[in-house]
Amino acid sequence: MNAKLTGFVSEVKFMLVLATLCALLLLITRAGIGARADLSVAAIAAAGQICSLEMPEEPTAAAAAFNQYFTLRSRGRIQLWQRNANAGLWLCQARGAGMWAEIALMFAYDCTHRRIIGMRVLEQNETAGLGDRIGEDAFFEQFDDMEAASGIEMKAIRIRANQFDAVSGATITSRAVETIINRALRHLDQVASALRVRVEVRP
Amino acid sequence: MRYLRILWEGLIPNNPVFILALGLCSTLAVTLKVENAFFMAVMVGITTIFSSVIVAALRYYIPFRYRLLSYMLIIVTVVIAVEQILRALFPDVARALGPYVGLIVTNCVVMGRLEAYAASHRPGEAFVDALGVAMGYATVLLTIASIREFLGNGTLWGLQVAPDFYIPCRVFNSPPGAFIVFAALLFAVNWLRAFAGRDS
Repeated sequence: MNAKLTGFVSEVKFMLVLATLCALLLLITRAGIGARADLSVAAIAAAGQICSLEMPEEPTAAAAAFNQYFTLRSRGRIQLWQRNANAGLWLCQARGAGMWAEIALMFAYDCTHRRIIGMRVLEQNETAGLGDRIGEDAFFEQFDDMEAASGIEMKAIRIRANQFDAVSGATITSRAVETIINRALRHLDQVASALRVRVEVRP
Repeated sequence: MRYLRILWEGLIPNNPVFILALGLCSTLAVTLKVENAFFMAVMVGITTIFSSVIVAALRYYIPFRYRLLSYMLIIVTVVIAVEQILRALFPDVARALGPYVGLIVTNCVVMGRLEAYAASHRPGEAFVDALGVAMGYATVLLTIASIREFLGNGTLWGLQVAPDFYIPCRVFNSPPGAFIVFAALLFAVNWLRAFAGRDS
């Protein structure tokens, strides 16, 4: 009985050591290269378009330029960057479920005036001819300088300043965009207020 | 000489796709373009080699009861690390491969080699065996991808190689096309093996 228990304990010990080593290796990889993996060339180009910044086309130079303009504040499915020259300007890359596959989009948000400055869809695999029209300029342009103090809203006809027209025949895709942006805005509010508190507490 | 034989056995007699029939789903899914197939083969190769060497080095310590769990942990770590590197260095390829990179974790080629070979051999031998199997896998993937891309698009690695009068046969871009090419190759390989007097 005792020998069995000792054997079991040593086996569990081995598994724990192995799991810890694997986790450490992953953390090191993530720290070394993960940040670069999160930010694609397309995302940098979109950030440049939204914020009217000059971004070089060569990937390494573009990443360097991006890091010069923005500071990463939050990782994960909703990534947030704060503009170095203007602390009220945030850049957000958010992912969420679309109709067929994941949608990734990027938008810039002005915390001071609580407005979305611009939006671009980075990745989408929606229905050809219907849902994939969220990748067109006509859809993006609705988000230029859009009021978003209490989130945005999808409507068949745009009446208020925080509403956007859904793409005809693609309600689920348009709803997905609405959900992703609203979720990202809530997260952004939390991160921004946490950052503000920390800044005020520190001398 | 012994290592050469191990390498040869992994490459042809133990070919993971044609002989052992392992990892078929990813084989058929990523062979639309030669470029994707190449990167997939490289990633499966790296994963097989690293996890084989690690398992072979730890073979006396891995508890028998938890060996599959341990293999899984090692494979997952290697795959995620490799995936991060691929996403950072080749984002377009990572996007084209989609979920199949993450699914290398469940690729039977990797798990099969760990259980069948690496768990009972020295790291050097496990390395050579994994290298052979990876090369065998890469050969099959590149062959299927070349045929599919040539017949379906008239291109190879994105370059136009078919003459102008060739009309691309789009069925080879679809999943049934993959099965047709795979079946034809399997027939050819089995016929050659029978011809060479080996029992299959």
